[in-house]
Amino acid sequence: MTKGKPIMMPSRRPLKIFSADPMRRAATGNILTIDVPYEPLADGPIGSRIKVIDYDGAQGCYYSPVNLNDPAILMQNGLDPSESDPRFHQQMVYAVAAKVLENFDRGLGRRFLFIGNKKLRLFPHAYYGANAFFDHSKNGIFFGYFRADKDNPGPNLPNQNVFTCLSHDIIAHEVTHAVVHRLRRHFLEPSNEDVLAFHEAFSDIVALFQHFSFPSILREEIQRTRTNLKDRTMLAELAQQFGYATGSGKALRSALATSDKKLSPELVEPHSRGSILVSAVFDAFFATYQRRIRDLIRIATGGSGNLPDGDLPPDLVNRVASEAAQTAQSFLTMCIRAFDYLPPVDITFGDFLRALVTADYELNPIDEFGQRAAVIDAFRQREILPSGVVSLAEESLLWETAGRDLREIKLPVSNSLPDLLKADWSLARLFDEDITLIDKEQVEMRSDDAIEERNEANQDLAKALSVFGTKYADRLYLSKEQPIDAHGFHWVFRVGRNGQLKIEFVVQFTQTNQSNEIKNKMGGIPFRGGTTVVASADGTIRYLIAKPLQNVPSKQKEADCRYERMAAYVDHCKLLDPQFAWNNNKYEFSHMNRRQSLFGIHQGVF
Amino acid sequence: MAPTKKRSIAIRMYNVGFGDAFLLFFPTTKGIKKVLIDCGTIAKSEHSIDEVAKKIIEDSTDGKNTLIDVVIATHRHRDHVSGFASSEWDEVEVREVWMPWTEDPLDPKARHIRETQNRLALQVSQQLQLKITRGGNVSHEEGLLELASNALTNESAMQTLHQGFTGSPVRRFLPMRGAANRTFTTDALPGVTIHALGPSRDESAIRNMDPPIGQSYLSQSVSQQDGGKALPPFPNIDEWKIEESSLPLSLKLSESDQKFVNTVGEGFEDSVAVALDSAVNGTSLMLIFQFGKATLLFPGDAQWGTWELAMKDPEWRGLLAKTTFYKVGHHGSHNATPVEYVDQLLKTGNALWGAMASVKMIEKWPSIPRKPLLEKLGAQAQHGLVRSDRLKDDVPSGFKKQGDLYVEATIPV
Repeated sequence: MTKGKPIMMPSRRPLKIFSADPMRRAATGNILTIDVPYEPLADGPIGSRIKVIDYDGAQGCYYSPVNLNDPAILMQNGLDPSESDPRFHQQMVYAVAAKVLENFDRGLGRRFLFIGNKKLRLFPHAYYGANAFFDHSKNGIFFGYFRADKDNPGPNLPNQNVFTCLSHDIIAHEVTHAVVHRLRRHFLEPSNEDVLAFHEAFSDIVALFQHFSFPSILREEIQRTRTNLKDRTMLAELAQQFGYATGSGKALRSALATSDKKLSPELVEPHSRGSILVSAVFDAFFATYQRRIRDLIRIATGGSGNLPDGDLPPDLVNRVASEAAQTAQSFLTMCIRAFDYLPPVDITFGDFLRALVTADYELNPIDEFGQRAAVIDAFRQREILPSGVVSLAEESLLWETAGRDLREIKLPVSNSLPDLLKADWSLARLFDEDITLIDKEQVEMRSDDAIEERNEANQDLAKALSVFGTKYADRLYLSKEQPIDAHGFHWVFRVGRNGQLKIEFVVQFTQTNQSNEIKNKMGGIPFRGGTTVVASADGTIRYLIAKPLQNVPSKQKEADCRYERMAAYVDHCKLLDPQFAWNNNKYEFSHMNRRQSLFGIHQGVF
Repeated sequence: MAPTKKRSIAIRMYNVGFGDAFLLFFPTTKGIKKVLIDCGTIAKSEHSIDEVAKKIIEDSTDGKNTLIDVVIATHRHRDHVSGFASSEWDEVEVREVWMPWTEDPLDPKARHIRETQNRLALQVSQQLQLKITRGGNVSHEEGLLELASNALTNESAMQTLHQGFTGSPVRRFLPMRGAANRTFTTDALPGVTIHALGPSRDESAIRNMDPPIGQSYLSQSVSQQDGGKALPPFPNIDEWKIEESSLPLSLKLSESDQKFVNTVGEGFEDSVAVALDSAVNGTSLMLIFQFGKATLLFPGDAQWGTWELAMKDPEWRGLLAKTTFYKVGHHGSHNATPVEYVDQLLKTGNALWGAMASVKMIEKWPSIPRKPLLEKLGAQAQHGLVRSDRLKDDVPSGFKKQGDLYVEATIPV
């Protein structure tokens, strides 16, 4: 035994990735070392939330799992990027996925866990095909590989192998699908034209904003575009190699492509519809960024605002890059934070706007950089308008705060706070910055204990919440005629920009109209309702974000509207679906189910 | 023989089975002018398509002269063009041939669409063929194979349409470029105004003709030419392979998970075959002929995308409401005749004299035709709706049949 204090494990683990994908080869910044939170890893790698399984269904074989703790790998900050070494592929999917989860931890104000603390499984070479998708029943992400178009491969070689698992954007996009599904289990049910589009758009937003956390590329792009990040920049493009390799002659998607498009009801293909949301968020980001660098430009140009010819001074580029990175992080956090203010079912883009505004307002009442104003403006330009608000002023976009009559009832949560906190805390501490040298088994044992404690506390709380929901159904805009399910509840801890700690409790109540008649009418999808309740630490209800079922007395009209909208959407899907002609008449009762698969959506079944 | 009644348009629907063939006679100031819309089948009736083609040629012959003023191919599906493969057409004089703009040999966009659809048709039918040889849900797959084969180019038929016939016919690709040209007249049909409602050259319409599902299918099929087996992802794959037995338990997949991964993407042909069919239908001509009081709508096999654009256009919308004769789109399938057209436009206009549906029941495709749709149309039309596969029975009053070979409507002008 060596004497003296044990050497602390570092809090971060550096790993190399392609910042975009292999297509840009050794272009500056394309090979990148990022760091992810340190956690003990087994071969695979297998971490606490992610497990990489390299099984190839097309070849019917496993590939050797990488051991990221191998000293030879540790000493070089991870394996060097390589298209022909599957171990690098395993490393890259792990690293990018871990980065996405870290962003969610930060935005959500708590450690994000998959349901039942199951590990998300990543299959870097699952099958032969130009697609990658998250499948919730298999709790896995399946990355395909394929050969580049032989006639029109863009900068790729004709017939060269293209791996979707080597695209930062595709990995981030798919992992985000998995996270969104964990946060909102009914958002894969296409109950209106926005739901699946939101899933797609949100996944693109996370992937895009992550680009801005890579300093070397950011600096280079700022220099190249002379700080005008709206100029054609790879920062705003998604999955370039994939796009070119499939013969489209461009990146798969771009945040700038649809800047003049408006949201119309006929636009139902989830990616096209989602791209309007993505471009709205991006526009708001650019506007805020420009506002934030205005003073820097003035200082650098002696007040003229006209940048001199030639290269920009590196100091200026660094400062502008740092503003861009902070703005991006702040937008990403705002988007993620909005989840706590989203309805549990049947989301619309308008709901997302209201959630964004409310979430940000709660933390930063003073909109110092005009971030919220920019968001509202960008949504307005695209005619993304929430229903039921009188104007697009900030005050009317905030979700209504709970009324007087709700002050007397309190969510039965404060008793559970200590238990749940304790469990959550000991879980969080395992991955804390103070982590000392402990072996993997020890971590797993302690984390299992913590999770068990947490589950016990959760089960009691779930019961109490269901009872509460049933008792006060009317006031929570829930129907008394259908069972009420309480789930997705958690404490939130956040520090506002003013340094104050905010503690809140969030719970989703959902219920389902069980009528088979409705389900058949809606092509196999049930009509669901529910309410997200946001409460303060003592259980006082602050916000009710409701999607009521019919027969909630005060919300009849809203429920009818929602029902009509869903029926109209289902009818529209029917019109677009050529399958009807070639299937038997039972298809009518299941045609919407086909649309619930991300494999299908990515493949283009719409 | 041409019909003799002067002041009405005669429309003959030939009983081709699963396909279309319509011969129209316009009583113009310069005599009776003939228009042939499509001639093809993929599942014949009691009469072969050659027999029908012969009959059409005979019906267009006046003394020694065989003349059809305008021949129209709404789109390149075999069930609409296969009859043109016959050499009998070489001797037929034609003044104009109309096809959708996607057939224009000089238009690069059109060429791209045709080439993509052809590649897709080849690729999907090969794959389905392979699947059928391997066994499985064979009858379902055979149905899909027929569907995919319908999109395979019929070279000799297309040859006739593009280069054949006598009389050096003018070839028009519709709608012609320029918004003003979507409505036109021609010396070949004096007094007839023609409106080309589709296919649109809009980007959204083109997306329907070159759908993303086809693009993604093609991009992953590149290497499947190697006996349907994917090529390995790494050059020295054996170096990386590892036996399942030497993996830690936590990295091993259950049998059902392994099966899931092994079959990802299979069954995808179904969706592609259907999407391809819809894409080719998306190129279909949708035409209105106005002559006197008559407004005849021939939508080919146009699907929702074309209809949607047409119904959104105020001028087309008004015109559609005035329909006096309707050729039921796409053999009576659900999304080739929108509910909005029947329930709102036709009802408001209340001018529908009659409708014709060229159909044949095929066991593999139980939803074609969609009965409630045909019933509704029949109820809306003053003289009802006639089906090509019901010519053994009595036809509704106002229609006249010749055996079970064709049925004729006489539309007042």
